[in-house]
Amino acid sequence: MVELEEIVEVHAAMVRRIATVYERYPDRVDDLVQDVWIAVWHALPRLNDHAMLKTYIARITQNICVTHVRRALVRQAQPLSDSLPDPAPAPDEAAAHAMRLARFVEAVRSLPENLKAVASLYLEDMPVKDIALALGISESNVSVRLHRAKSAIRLSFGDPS
Amino acid sequence: MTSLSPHDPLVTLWQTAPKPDTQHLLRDLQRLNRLHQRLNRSVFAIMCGTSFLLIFAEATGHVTTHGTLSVIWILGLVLGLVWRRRARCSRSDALTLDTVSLLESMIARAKSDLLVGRCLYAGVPCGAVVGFFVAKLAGISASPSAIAAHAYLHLIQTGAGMAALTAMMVTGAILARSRRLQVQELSEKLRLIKVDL
Repeated sequence: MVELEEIVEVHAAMVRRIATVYERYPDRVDDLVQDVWIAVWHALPRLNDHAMLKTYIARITQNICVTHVRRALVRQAQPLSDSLPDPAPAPDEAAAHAMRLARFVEAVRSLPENLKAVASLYLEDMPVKDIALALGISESNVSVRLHRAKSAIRLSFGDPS
Repeated sequence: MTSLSPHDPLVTLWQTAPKPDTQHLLRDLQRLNRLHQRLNRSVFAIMCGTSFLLIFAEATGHVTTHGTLSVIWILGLVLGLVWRRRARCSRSDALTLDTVSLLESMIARAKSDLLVGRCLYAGVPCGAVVGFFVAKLAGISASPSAIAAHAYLHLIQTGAGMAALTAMMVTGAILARSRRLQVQELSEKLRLIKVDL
């Protein structure tokens, strides 16, 4: 359990960020995150190359998020909310940053499925080769999608710099 | 491992998202692990207990079912093991396959489940009707003397048969509906991810 604790500590933020792209509602994000960590936990004994841990966990997260089937009817009945913290009680600068981040997450979330999968892994700083391997598509395909995803994000969100 | 664009402001902004509460997550994982172990132990104890009782009762002649209960029990165990093995395989698929291959295997599995669901809700009543007419034509039924001796037995048997048929049809309908939705949604995702640009 000690090893898992360390891994969770290092990669929990990444797993949650990817899950947030696929699910808007915090309770469903929690469920997804829990599913991912259970899968990682079960897979840990079989993992030989610890240098590839980040890629491996990102791939598991991506797979679990993409293949999770939504229950649209249930979801429509739920109130709209976001897993990002409410910016109201925070100081001005932090509140502005949180709002900016929320808009960014929304921009990524609203991408079509084929661009979203590539963008969510790219934003976790994964190289094109690993993204292609994780998704099972060619590297050139990843590059084209990445270009389109970044254009679409900049169009709806603006330039972050 | 080199990144494509280490100074991309989009990546920098993305990684400033607040860190989640890992202590809460770890507590949940530990709790789930304990529950899982407890459930495994309970299921194992129930299975051992029931098997022992069944073997004891049938071996000593307390139950005159001529091994029928044992056959049903072993069949249930085999089905349970197959289901468990399948669940384990589907969980390990997410760890070993890429997204496209995983979606393809999930669609194939959902389609086979859909077929089972359709067989249950459409095949079972058809089979029952065919079986009824075949039994009538072949003259297979309980003798009038047996029916007269156990007046309620015939009624109970018919009721139990109808209840089993209804349960199978309802299960089939629910399974088919959920798998149809799954096939639709996963196929759409696969089409979007697989499409060549």
